[in-house]
Amino acid sequence: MSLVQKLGPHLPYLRRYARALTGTQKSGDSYVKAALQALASGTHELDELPPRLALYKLFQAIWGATGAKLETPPETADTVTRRVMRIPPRHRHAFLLTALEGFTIDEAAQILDDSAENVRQLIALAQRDIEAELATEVLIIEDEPVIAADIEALVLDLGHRVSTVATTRTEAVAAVKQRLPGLVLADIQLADGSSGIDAVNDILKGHDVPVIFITAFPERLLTGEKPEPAFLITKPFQPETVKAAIGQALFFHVERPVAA
Amino acid sequence: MGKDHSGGDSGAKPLDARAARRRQDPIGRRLRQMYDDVVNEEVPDDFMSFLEKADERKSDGNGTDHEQPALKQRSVKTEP
Repeated sequence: MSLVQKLGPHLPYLRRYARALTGTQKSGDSYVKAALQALASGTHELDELPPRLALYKLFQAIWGATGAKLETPPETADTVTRRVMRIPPRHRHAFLLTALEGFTIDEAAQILDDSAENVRQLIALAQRDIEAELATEVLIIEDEPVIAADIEALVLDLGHRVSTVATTRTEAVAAVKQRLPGLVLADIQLADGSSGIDAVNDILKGHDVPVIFITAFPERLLTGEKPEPAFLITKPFQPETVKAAIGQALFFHVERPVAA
Repeated sequence: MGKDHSGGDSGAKPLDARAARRRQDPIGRRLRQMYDDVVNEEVPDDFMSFLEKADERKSDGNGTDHEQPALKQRSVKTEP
């Protein structure tokens, strides 16, 4: 089987990886090109691995030899890409190979020429980098003290700070006036009969902030005037589900100017 | 394992790779959506020509010294 047939189908995915890794398609492509050139000129050979792994491994070797040293986050990169770029290179490889490219830990270890144990550690470190980068002040809108305490604990677990726990719409709006949070976690049905949806809509009028609704009544959000885009988690919740949603909401939040 | 090698420099709790991956998977999925256009667009022509060149080098056995042209099969161009 020719290399064209063996490797060709994997090139679109390698280009994606290269783009995420380097921040721009142009720069990513230059490394993909360098890897293929090395193959064409015979300075590098493919390892005896399944074609996709061998291809990524070759790319990784080429990038490690040159790209790792030249790295500067490109000016033109969007907010999300910059967040990816702020993860240190070795951690970023492990994170992108598994989460973006869907390789198993063992496969990623082969590509990175490292042990599975080390790759696991790199993945955990990448997560710490991500969470440290995203750490922010969180406004919790929740009227049930026990649930509020649960949410507070998991928010702190992630390295965030809790600015306020508001129990009504009025309190929530007042809290935002005092101190602008970087994330809002909101229940929908509040103690005084007010609505978390209304509270969030009030807040979003003045500020662009990511919101996650945590509610036992998800249908209210589906029928009501739902702020877009918002995450929805149904009570009772698994702390890990909320943590994953928080990470996602913050990682992909791109601030847009809001008319004051 | 994996519990004690994270310094206490931030408020975040140390975590293992399993928990990390569970939080990273949804991020990876969103990134895939973001980069969908890359996957769907045509690979630049010169990329494929490098692979063709590598194929020719292999089948001609004239590229480098460490490759014995044992399986010397003339490459038949598949392209039109």
